[in-house]
Amino acid sequence: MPPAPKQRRGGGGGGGGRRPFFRRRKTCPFSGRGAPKIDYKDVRLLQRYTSERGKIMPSRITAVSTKMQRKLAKAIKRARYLALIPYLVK
Amino acid sequence: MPFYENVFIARQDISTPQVESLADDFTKIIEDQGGTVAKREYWGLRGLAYRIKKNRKAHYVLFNIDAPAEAVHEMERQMRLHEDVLRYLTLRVDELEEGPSAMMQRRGGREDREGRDGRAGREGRDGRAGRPRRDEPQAPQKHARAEKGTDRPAKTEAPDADPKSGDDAPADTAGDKTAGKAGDKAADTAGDKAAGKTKAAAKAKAEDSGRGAAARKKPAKAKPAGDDDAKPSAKAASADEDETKGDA
Repeated sequence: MPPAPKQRRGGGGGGGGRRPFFRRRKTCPFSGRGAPKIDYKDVRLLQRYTSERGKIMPSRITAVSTKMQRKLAKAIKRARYLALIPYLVK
Repeated sequence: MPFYENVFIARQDISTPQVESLADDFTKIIEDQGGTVAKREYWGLRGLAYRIKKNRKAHYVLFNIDAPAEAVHEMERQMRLHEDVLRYLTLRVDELEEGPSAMMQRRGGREDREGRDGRAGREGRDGRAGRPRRDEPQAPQKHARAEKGTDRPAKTEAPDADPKSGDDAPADTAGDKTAGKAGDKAADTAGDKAAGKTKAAAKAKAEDSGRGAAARKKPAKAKPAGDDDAKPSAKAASADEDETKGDA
C-alpha cells in the first residue's frame, strides 16, 4: 500500500497535505449507529486501541470520545488482568 | 437479583472434564443459594498473554449469573481457595448478554479475520504510528521462515496456540502457516529420499567390495545423514536469529 503513508500524514500529522489547516473532524468510533460495544472479552477490538507495546492509545489519536475512552481503558485493563491481552509487549 | 458476569482461569495441567466438573461445582454453589447460571461458556485452553504462576496456557470459563450477592461471594471464596483456579473476575452487569460472547464469535468466524483486519487498518490509519503497515509486509515472511525450522511442536497444538499468535501478529494468517507446513513437509520428504539413496548406495558398495569395506560403510552412511541433519538445524538457527532480530 504505497499511498497509505502520505494519507496518514495528511490526516493526523498536522497537515502536510493540500490544505494545511483543515482537518476533517473524526467522530468517535463507539458512538452512533452500528458502533461496536466495548467489551473486555472482545480482544480483537481492544487490541486495535493498544499500541505495539501494549499501551492504551490516546484518544486524540483514535478519536474516541472521552466517555468511551474511559470505558475502553477499563475494558483493556480487565482484559489485561485476565491475560487476554498483554500488559507489556517487549 | 442482580446480574453478574464471571470469568475464571484454571490451570493448564488439568483436563477439560476436570474443568467442567470445576465449573459444575461453582454452578452448584450458585444454585444452592437460589441463583441461576444463565449461560456457561468454555473458551478452551487459551494461551495467556503473560505467565501466571508459571502457566503459559489456561482454561477459560465464563458464567452469566443471576444470583444474590451472597451466592457470588461464596463462589468467589471457593475460587480463591481452589488451587486450580489461577484468576477470576466477577463483574456486575446491567443485563446479561444474549448469545455467544465476543470470544466465541471470534472463534467461530475465523475466516473473516482478514476482512476485519482490513477494517482495523482503515480505522487506525490516521493515528496508529504506522503499525499495521510496518508489520504486515514483514511479519508473514518471518513467521513462515521461522516455522520451517523450529515450530514443530507448536503446530500440533495449533488450534489452541492459534488465537494467541493471531492476536500478536494480525498478519499471521492461516495461509502462511499452511505454506510453512507444506514447505516443511516437502523439505522433509526430499531429505528422506536423499538419505535413502545415499544409504542404498553405501549398501551396494559394501556388498560389492565385501568385508573390507564394511568398516568404511558406517562412516560413509553417517556422513551424508549428518549433513542432512546439519542443514535444517542451521536453517533453524538462522530462523531463530531472525526472530530475535525482529524482536529487538
